[in-house]
Amino acid sequence: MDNKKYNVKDALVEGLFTNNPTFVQLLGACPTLAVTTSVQNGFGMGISATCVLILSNLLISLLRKFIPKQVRIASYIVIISGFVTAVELLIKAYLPALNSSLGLFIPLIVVNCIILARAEAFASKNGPFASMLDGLFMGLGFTLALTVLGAIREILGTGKIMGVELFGGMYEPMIIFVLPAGAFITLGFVIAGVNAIFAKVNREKHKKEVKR
Amino acid sequence: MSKQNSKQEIKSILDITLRLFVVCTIIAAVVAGVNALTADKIAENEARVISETIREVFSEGDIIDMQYSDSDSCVSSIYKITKEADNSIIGYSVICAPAGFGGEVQMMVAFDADKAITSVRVMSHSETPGIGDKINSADEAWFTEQFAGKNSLMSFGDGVDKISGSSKSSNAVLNGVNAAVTAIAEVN
Repeated sequence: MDNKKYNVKDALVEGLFTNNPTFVQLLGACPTLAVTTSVQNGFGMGISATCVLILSNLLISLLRKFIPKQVRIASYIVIISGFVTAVELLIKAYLPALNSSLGLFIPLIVVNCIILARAEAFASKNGPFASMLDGLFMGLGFTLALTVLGAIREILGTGKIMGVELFGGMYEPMIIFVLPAGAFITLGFVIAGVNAIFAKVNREKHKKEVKR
Repeated sequence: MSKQNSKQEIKSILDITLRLFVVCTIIAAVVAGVNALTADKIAENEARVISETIREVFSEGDIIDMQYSDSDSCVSSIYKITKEADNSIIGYSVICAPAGFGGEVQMMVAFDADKAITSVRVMSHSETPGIGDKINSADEAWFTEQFAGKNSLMSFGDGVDKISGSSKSSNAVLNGVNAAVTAIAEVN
């Protein structure tokens, strides 16, 4: 049976913050770690993944009554990889400038667990419009996460942001941040920070409720 | 009773299989369709990137594809640039894609009519930002410029140097240049 009423505002907050696919759900860590070597790369991957997420959520939602549950994972993977291939071909043909900056990341989207997870957790159980919104909000949360991680790693690891020198050459960059080890370190610290913020917000909320 | 059940089972397995088949067929058709729609445009785009890069070095002359092929080499094509007036050779342009750290490094090695290198361009790559991508950066332009004038196989430390800290990416460019030198010696 389909889930009940879909609250758009709550869903947006969830996708961006409280249920952020990267920092809270810890999904799609592989492309996250690999691609966040700069703000541009992180943002580009986020946007591309969001487009695929919206489309795949839509199609899977439309087909949810047709796909038998015993072969649902196989079906979702076929649909997702089909979409990614189609998107890649279209970008290569009609947006060659975009292809030179984002071209590498498109095939990586197929193995991004966020897409499969949202198909299974949401699109297979909800209507097409809500599924598209879910794809959009989760995608935005993913893009936010990648952009933040990309910014931190680019600033600390190369001393630049978006290719622009920040510290006038005085800062000796810590190269480790653009390497895989730095990816793990950065992600770990950001998740710790996010958890600390959530804990504080919940304490404030609890205090307010107890006062009443 | 049990015969009824297994008949039901077979029917349900057939049903599931059929549905999966339908989904796969639809997606395969969509991908095939998009491919047919875009194949020509993609080939056109790739050819345009190559000719634009060649034009950066050889601003005049006819570009002729020499139909070079060698499956063991990372060289994908060789172009001859000739003077429009008398078909005399101005130079050559070799397109190759040696393996780098993060993937293929698409590069072009330009030669003059005597088969000496005039310039080396990196067209695209997937090397690590801040490390390997120095092979294509303005700050380290000396790296690609150092190959100018050479016409034989080279190794680092012997007239040409790698970018320190980026050996894999530097080696990729060197391999590409050497492959180009080898290939150009074979053609007329």
